[in-house]
Amino acid sequence: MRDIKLKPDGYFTFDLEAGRMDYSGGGGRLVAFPAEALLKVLGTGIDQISRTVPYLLGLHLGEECGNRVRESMGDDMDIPVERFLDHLNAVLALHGLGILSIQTWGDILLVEWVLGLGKSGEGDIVDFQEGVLAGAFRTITSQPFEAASVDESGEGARFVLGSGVLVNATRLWMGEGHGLGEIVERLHAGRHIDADTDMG
Amino acid sequence: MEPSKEATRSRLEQLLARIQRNRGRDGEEPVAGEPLTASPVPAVVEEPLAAMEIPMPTAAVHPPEEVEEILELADTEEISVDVEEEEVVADIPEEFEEDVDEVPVEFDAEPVTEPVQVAALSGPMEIEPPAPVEPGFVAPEAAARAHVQAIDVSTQPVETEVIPETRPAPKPTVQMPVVPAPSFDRRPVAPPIEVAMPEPTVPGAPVELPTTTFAGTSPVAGARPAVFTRELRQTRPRTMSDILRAALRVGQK
Repeated sequence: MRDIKLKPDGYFTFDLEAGRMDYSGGGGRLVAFPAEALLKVLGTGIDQISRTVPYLLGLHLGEECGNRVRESMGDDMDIPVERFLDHLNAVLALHGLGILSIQTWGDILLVEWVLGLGKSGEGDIVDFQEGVLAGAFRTITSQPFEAASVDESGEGARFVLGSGVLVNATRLWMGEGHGLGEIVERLHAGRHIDADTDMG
Repeated sequence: MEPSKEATRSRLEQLLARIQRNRGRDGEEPVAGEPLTASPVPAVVEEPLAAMEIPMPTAAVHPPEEVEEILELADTEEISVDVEEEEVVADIPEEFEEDVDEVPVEFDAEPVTEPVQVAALSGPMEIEPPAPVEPGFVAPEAAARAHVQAIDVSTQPVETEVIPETRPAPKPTVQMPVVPAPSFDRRPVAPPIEVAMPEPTVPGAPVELPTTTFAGTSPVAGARPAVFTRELRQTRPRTMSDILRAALRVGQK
């Protein structure tokens, strides 16, 4: 077995109170943080800190992945969906974070994420996944994407991606017990925009 | 009064016959009984036959006066003497020269009316040069090559990349997903098609929209089989930009 040597030129810094996970150094090399270790970090003292910590940790990791995707794929998004997923899944695979697939329900964008760790769709992991998706899609597209979990019962968790207004309305309607089909109908009807206007 | 042509030719043939008799069969040995004299005639005759070199036999047996007579007879416009071959050659009259040029020549192929053009090539490509084209005559194979369109590779880069064929978009009226038939061409292996079924809806709820599922094609460790479902009402493949733009504008009127 090949000896694993410590390379202190690249490392991650976890700030659980602030919900930050920074990557430093590396000399251009990618230092992957194992997903199993990340889950242990998320489970350590998670009750004593804010629930937003997993989301922010995922957000930083997603931004890191998004930057690497842009380096390999470029800024042109007028490409087939499969090619986009090839780049994004390749980066996620380096961290052991499973694989994504994309579904479109009309104009609604859904991302199905098979994490492959047996904990997909569970509490803190979902918050972490929402952060990764938001960070990755924001960095890659330079658009204000947010993600909300809508289905945690299948093989992988499914997330709705869209604007902040759309995601907030989705979370609200999911909490009220509405099904995904009805939520999609409401979103296409623009009811989330009406609700946001009423709230505003 | 100058002798007629016929008389000149007759006299000249008589002299040559006499020379032949004196020289013998092979032109080398003289005939016995005849006087043997050295020929004073120079090897090169002066104008107007200066350009015509007439080699003389080394052992001429005819008298000098006869040689002079031959040369005088040969100094005409119409008759020349080839002493080496011992024959009289009559020049072709000018009035017949045009007739010779007008002798019809038959060709076994139709002449090509279109010019043959060959574009300049800049790459390492080698082509067979076209056959020489003669006026009024082109060989059949050359005529065939004349119709080959020349390609200027200097302005058209040669692509070696294999471009996958674009699948035709399904017709809007088709309600079943199109399963690609197994093929052995160079296109990437199509992932298995999985029909995305709508979520169970509440009784009375409106029918949900058909879904489209995309998945990557790269082999990733731990990845499940790729899933690809084409939206039935889709008229052209949606790019990632189309999907992202639509996702940010959902519900906007």
